[in-house]
Amino acid sequence: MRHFIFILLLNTFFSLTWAQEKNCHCNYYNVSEEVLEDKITGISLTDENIKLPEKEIYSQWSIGDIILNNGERITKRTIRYDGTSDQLIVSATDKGIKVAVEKNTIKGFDINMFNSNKILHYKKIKIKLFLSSEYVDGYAQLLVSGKTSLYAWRRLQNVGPTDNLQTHYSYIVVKEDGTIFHFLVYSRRYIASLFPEKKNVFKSQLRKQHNRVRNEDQLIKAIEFYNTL
Amino acid sequence: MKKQNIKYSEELIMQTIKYSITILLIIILISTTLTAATKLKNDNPVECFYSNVQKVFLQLNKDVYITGEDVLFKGYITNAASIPDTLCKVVYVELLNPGNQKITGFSVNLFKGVCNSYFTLPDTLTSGYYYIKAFTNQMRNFDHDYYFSAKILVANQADDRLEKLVTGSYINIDSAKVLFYTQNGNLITGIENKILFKISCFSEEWDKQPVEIITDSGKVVASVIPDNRGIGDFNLIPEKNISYYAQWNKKNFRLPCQVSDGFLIQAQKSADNIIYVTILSGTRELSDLLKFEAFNNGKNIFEKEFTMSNGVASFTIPAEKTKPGFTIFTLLNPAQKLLCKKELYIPENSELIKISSNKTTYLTREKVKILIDLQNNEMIKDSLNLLINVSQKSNSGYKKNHSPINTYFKLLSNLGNENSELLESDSLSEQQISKIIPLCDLPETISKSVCPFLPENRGYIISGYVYSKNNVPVPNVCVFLSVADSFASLKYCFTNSAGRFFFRLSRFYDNKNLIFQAKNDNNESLKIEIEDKYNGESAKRTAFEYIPGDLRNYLKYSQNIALTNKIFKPGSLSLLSNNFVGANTNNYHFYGVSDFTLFPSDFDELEDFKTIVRNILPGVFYNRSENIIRVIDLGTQTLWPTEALVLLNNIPFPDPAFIAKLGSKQIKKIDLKKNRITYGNIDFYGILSITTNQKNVYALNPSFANITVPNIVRDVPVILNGPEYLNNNNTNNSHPDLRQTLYWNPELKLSANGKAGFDFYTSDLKGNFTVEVEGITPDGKIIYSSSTIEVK
Repeated sequence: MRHFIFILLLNTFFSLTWAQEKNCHCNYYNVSEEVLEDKITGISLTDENIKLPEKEIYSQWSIGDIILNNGERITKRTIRYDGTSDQLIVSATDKGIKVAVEKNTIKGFDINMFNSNKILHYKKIKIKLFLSSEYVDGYAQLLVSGKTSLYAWRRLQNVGPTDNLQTHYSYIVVKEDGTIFHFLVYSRRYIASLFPEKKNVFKSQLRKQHNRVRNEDQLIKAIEFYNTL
Repeated sequence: MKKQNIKYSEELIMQTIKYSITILLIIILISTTLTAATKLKNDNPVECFYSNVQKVFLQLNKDVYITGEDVLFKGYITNAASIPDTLCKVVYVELLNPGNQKITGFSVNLFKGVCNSYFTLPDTLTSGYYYIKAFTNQMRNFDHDYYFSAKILVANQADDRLEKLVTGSYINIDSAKVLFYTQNGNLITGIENKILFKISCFSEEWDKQPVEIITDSGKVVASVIPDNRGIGDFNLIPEKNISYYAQWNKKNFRLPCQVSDGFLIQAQKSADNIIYVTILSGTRELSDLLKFEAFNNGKNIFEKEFTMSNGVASFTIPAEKTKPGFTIFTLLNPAQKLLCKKELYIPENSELIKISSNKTTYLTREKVKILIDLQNNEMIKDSLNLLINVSQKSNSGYKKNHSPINTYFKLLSNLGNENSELLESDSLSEQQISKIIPLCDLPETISKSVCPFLPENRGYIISGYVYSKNNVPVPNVCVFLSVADSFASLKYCFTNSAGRFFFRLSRFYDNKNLIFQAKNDNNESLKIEIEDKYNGESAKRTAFEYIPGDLRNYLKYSQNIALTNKIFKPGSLSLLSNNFVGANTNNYHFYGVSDFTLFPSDFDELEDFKTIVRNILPGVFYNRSENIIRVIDLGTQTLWPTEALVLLNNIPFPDPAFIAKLGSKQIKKIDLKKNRITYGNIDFYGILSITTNQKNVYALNPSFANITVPNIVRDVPVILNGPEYLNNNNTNNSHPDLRQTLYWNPELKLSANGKAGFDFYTSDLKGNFTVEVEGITPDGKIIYSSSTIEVK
């Protein structure tokens, strides 16, 4: 019994000392980066609304950073890019809800891919829709940055009359002067035609490099090479 | 026997259980404490060492001002090694009266560690000595002595008698203390320590009584009479287990504590630029391999591993390695722990910058051409902007209290070193001396604890408290911050256990009125207080000082000049390009884009808000009796259970009574967001934003505690250039031109060959004008030079 009382007293003493120490610092120390950083605005989603489709571009939640319009970076949030609605979903774990981030308030986001240890940079850019003169704000993955940038807009879209979601990748080239090209299918000839000022040199160099611009990797290499010309 | 055995074994089991529980509890206790300690440590990674303190310097255009005049300044913020602090975003500037009370204060945005702007002295100041202080948030962790302080003389424009000045110089001898200066804050046993002392707030009028150094047994070991600034020094070889005191004014002041295993670095530069370094150790038998390193302007110029022999080691650093600037010497143990540090400032060659003018003597209103030539082209960097100040200095015997940048930084670099060279110099002013900090006087808790005031590298941090009506801090209250702007911005913070809240402000909030609102769930009446960054030095008792004849004449002369200039405005400030242009605008609402916008002017006139809601605002329900506005959920088409967030001209929580009266005449537009919006951790069940035709109308809800605080930021870089007189015959402008500052350019760029030229016209004032050139290179080299031109 004496031991218990002794331990209890000891515990109380330690707790009080620690609490006092903590208390004397708490005026300043309780301020964490999370308190100071800007907040994310979004529309609350119920769980039913955000069920992952059977086929999704990124089938799991990842850790990522969100870049607000004012340049502030909100770091280490659990996020997922929803390819069906072209929305960024944030999991507000402490409240158990999911939030679709208001597109007008952010510039883009970075996703840390667990599997590949890569960081995917997504930027909100104006994208001209196919067969339409309309431009929409879309989250496109930055593949090449430089004088000429290359983005991939990775969407999931219904194909056919039934709900058959399929990946739908289109690409956007943003030239130095701000001209935007949005394309689905590409070839060496098409890519070279986007740069009429250096078309012949670019095309012949691609030919020398045996780059037929048939897949995404080759497309990236082609634009990276163009930036060096 | 058997029973006894059973009983004994039962007791043994009980005893074992007791001990097990005790051990378990101890383990839990220790682990809890350790976890807590680790948590505390991890949460506070910034350590508060005095060697980390930033340095701030403000260059002012003049020393003597008349009320209503502009004070032009350029500020430099560097880290402890005098390298411009490019991360720090904001510096605070305060004008204090002679009694040390704040008159005005504002923040200045920094760009690459430099700021320049101006402020106007209020017309209401009484004639006297005022102080301009500058500091960063990080510097608030340290003594006020580290703050930049310039003493300026201000005469009131309307003070026609000019008999006396208000000063803060009343000093009570009983409040004076003897402060000590040693190299590393302690005395080292067994070796000769040079100790300097300074009597704080010393007055020349006091009787010169000696400072006697005595042991704890009362034996006098030294006796020194302080000089007329209250300063003196003595050498002492401390003996083990003896405490030493300085006895002065019948009081004992304890010398710093003794350590037996300390080190001293002595460094001396010879005339031929060779540095001789001697390291002394308190421990004579030391077999550890020590490492000595010397860094010149951040570059390692010398390193050597050695063992101490008989407590002494000496090194010579050749002249070719020592360039002007700051040389830092460090002594490390085998585990790379810093044992001792010393800085040595090698002044720049005075020939480094050449200031040449086309003539030495000028007529009034004559064009002056000045050429600046930086001899060392290595120092020219893109971001090197030099300050040029051409102004008239008083020759009335008024002693300048504001040292130039080179002396100021040299002084700061010697903090914690032997300050003998500095203190022995008679040219030091009172302010300069007060900058020398007695390291040994630092309380342990500050020097070894973590920094409470964080560096503001990502923006200005504003904090405050929420109190109940009984002045008790209230935790867990949500405080909202908004500003009146064309776009809605909202920040919130829950008060911590001390009732404190914090906001980090971007440049969007500059020069806007910050509106703080808070409400408790239980409708308790609250009040918000915003923390003043200037956490006040104790107020000084003011005294009056009669103005001597020469100074009175000079002040009257300056008053006349200021009055004439006020009428004719011969020199005007023109804006330089601001590095921050466009940074304080916002082009989106915090809630994104509205779902629906209504312009009531498109409809027939409706008299009040209830009528508007009922007739032309679908999806909104307004209960006038309860003053509640609710919005219909877009998804379920039912009313949200909780009231919507209402914004009036982008300020949340308006007065419901005011909203109720708004009709279509007053309302310009209504934006509606029908979804449940999650903003950080707060949910808003729909947002209704009302914009009125009349701008800046915001009626705050009286049931909320609220406070409006102006966020004054001065970051308007200015250049001062006078009028141009095309002919030297003074005929093209008949207005008097009595400019005392002829030219002020805080951002003069040098060409690739290190040259820059500028020109200006002299005013109608005759006498000597000083041309000052100063700057800091990105790698911390201080540039300063001055020359004089005469106007006849």
